[in-house]
Amino acid sequence: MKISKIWMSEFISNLKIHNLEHELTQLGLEVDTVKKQKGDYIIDIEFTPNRGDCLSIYGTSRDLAAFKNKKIKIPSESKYRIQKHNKFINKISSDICPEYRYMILKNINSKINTPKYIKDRLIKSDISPVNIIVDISNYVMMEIGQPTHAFDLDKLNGQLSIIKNKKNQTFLGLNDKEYKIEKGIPVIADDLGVIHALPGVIGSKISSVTANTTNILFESAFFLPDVVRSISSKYRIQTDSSYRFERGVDFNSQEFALSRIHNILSSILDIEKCMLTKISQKHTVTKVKSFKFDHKLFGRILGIELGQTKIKNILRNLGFVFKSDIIIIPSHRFDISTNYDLVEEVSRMIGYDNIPETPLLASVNTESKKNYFNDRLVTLGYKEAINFTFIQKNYSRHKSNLELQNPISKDKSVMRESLIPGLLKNIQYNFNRQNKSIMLFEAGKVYTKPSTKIIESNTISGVLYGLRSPYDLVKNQYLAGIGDLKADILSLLPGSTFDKNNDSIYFDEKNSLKVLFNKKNIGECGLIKSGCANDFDIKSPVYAFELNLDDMHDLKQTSFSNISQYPAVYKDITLITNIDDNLSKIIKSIRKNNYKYMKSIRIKDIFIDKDKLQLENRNVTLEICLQSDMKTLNDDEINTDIQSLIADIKERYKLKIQEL
Amino acid sequence: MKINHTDLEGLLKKDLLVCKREHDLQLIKSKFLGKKGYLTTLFSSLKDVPPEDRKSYGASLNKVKDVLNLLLNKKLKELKSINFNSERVDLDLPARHYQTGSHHPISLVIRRIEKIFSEFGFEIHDGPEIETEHYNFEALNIAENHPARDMHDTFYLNNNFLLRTHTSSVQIHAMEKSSAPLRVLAPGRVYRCDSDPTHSPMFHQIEGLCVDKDINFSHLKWLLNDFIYKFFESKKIKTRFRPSYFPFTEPSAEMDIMFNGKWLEVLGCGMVHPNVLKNVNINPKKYSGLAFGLGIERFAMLAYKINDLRIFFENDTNFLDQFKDLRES
Repeated sequence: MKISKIWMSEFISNLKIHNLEHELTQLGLEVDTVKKQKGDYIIDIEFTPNRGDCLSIYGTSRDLAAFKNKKIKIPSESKYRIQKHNKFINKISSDICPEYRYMILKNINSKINTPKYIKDRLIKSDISPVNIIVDISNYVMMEIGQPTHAFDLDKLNGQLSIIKNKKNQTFLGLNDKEYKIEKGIPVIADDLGVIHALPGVIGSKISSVTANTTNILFESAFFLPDVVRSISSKYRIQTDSSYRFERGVDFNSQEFALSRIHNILSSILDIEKCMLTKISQKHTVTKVKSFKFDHKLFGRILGIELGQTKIKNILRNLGFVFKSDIIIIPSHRFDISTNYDLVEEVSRMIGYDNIPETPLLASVNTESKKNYFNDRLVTLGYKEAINFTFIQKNYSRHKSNLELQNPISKDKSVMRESLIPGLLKNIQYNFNRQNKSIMLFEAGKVYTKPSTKIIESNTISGVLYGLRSPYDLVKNQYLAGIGDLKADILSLLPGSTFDKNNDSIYFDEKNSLKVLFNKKNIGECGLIKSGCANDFDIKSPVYAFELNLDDMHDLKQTSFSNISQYPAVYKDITLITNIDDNLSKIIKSIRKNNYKYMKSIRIKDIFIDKDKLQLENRNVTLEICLQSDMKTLNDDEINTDIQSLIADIKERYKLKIQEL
Repeated sequence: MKINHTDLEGLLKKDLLVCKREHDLQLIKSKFLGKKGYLTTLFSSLKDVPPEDRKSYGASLNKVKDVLNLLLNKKLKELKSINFNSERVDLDLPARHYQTGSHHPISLVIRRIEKIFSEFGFEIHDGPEIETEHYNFEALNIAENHPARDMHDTFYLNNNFLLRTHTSSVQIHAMEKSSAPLRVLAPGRVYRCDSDPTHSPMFHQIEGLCVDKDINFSHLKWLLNDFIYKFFESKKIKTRFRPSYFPFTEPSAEMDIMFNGKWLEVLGCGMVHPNVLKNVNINPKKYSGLAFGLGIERFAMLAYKINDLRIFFENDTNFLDQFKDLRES
């Protein structure tokens, strides 16, 4: 809200602009900007939602006056009489409007020009002048915070009622927009059911005051904050009026607003004496609040002893009244309902900077979180990415997508079920910027809803794309592949194993593997399906892994195993195999067989037999390590093991051996 | 062939000339000085020498023995310090290229903050990102229809689920799980339906919560000042607290730091609202608490002098690569 310093000076004397910014900030009224304008300063304040009482020049000045311990000048008003005789209002629902006041003005010349000082002040407050009646209504709202509304009396069919809408109908607002108002929505309607206003939010075009208006019903009401908010949020209409009602307008300021309007108008026009009609109904919100004052809480919450007298004086300055041990809350302070709220009031007034500091007693030092997996991947050369968790689409089969109802854009509309799409997007982005070698990982949540329950799984995924070492000498360069991927996974989680992948959403089934840990399927690795990569304009193979982090924490304590003091013997056996032979499975099975001295077995080399010109055929050399914990092995012992292994390979696994 | 003791030095020198390995030297040594070695044989023939010559002959044999030992030891030393560097190294060979990994600056800042607070016994908690109205709003004293909800542009999913708008929701989960006293730190992703150069629809926050007997506002001020000094590694940094509003704290404050001559808002904080404590069955008459929440991106921008929020989520490797010094993690 924009506040003119000159206007404010009518309420408090001796304001100095360089102090003002600081003082308002200290009060919790956050100054956004201060701009010099034609000998005035325009202070733009961002009010927190609890401070509805400050949404006027008077309200802000009132808070400042309490802080500066100064008297505040109250704007002049007309003397008025309240009459019970009510000719214009039929029914008011107390669930919408507990306090309603109106004044009738007759034979008004609405064509007359608004005084320049009023127009100027409205413009400084970002409000466009319309006509004398609307301008004064807005002026008084800015001045004292009470919104009012003027109806053209001659456009009303009989009396007005503030009730729930009886039939679906359209409503043309002052803003020239049409709204479909459903049955049951609170409205201000006439005897024919025509809507003349959405209470506290906006008036209708048809009964709005124009230059031709002569007879006016000036409304000044207290509409319930919840009611106004539900209407304004349902129809997405925020007006200066709804903004104030939602945050709470002083429920004692209705008469003041009308008599102030009368006072200004009577200085311009010749009008009748001020006569107000009052319709008041009991409601909990408009009841004067009071509770038992607890002076002990202040020291407990603030950590500073202020003394009861000082506390009470501060609160009295703010308009609070004490009656023995009961404190009475002023009608403009909707935000105060407990002693805790008073603690904030007092601390605001003494200044947060004047509250001392006390060291927090140290507690047991907690171990900071382990970031083992991230750390290891970084060491391996992966850069960490952080992607939006909402993506364009999942590739999943099930239809239980977690979709946003109000996404920011279509490409950020579904909660991700995998980290892969985000990482593919990163490859696309970086490849388009001439990066030919990309190693990225992300650790984060993925979201699924297999039943009514939503599951958030911690996941870690990485991608390898292009050259492994693009800035090495040409002879050292090579394309990253499955070997790199396996090495990285084994480094991340030693003891994990790989198995055939039969079914996958993101990975190419034939060219990918399941990753197992403690016999549990924890993820996949291998080539991304080209169909999926195509969606990201990626033109060459992407190697990736995706692992469920929640399954990777199960750590078994390492137990030491004895190291043999005797020399190991290494023997090579070369097999003639086909790519479909699933050698990994065979090796796994060989490991389980009990050869007496076999310590380990590994693939030492793979070479394609070019003479046979069949890519699927390749020779695989296995290196078998034999060792005993008890003695140095002799040739016989070695040969017995090797021969039985060769026999098994031929007979059990049906593979040929390359004879030397 | 009869070998004379005067020949031994020459013979040994000849052998040593071709000796390249320690193992060979051992063989040579035993050839000359071993049990059946030349010199031992000569010593054993001492008894055949006429008694009048025996003394002087014996003396000359001992002299030879000393000479041989000297030569052998010299050679041994030589072999032990053998030089492999016969070939020149091409010192112009460039460094082998390892891909250098890096932590995302957001992760680095989270770690830095976790480390500072773990010294005060704050435990790291994690909470769901897809939340209910209850945990994100109601349990935090933000009633439906309260204008405070305007401060949170919320993403909604089906069945009234929503993406949490702040990590404050973890306060409730943490207090439900373990009752007072407790110290909790909850980093994580949060979401607001807002996107422009200064707002990202997804960003990161850290929530801190300390509930105990006799916790008051002066502790809050001290703790957060101390945190700022540690984070920016300077005690000279100017800070201020000013009143603000959060439905789940009372009093509420905003903390600013002086940055390039201007006050810059860095975090929101306050004393836990008694309603929040009551909502999780903690007696506000017995316990009080302090809470704070801060935006990681803001701190990362300050720490690394980054001026554009969007760069955090583009994942440009040229950006990520700048955080490769692992000493920061």
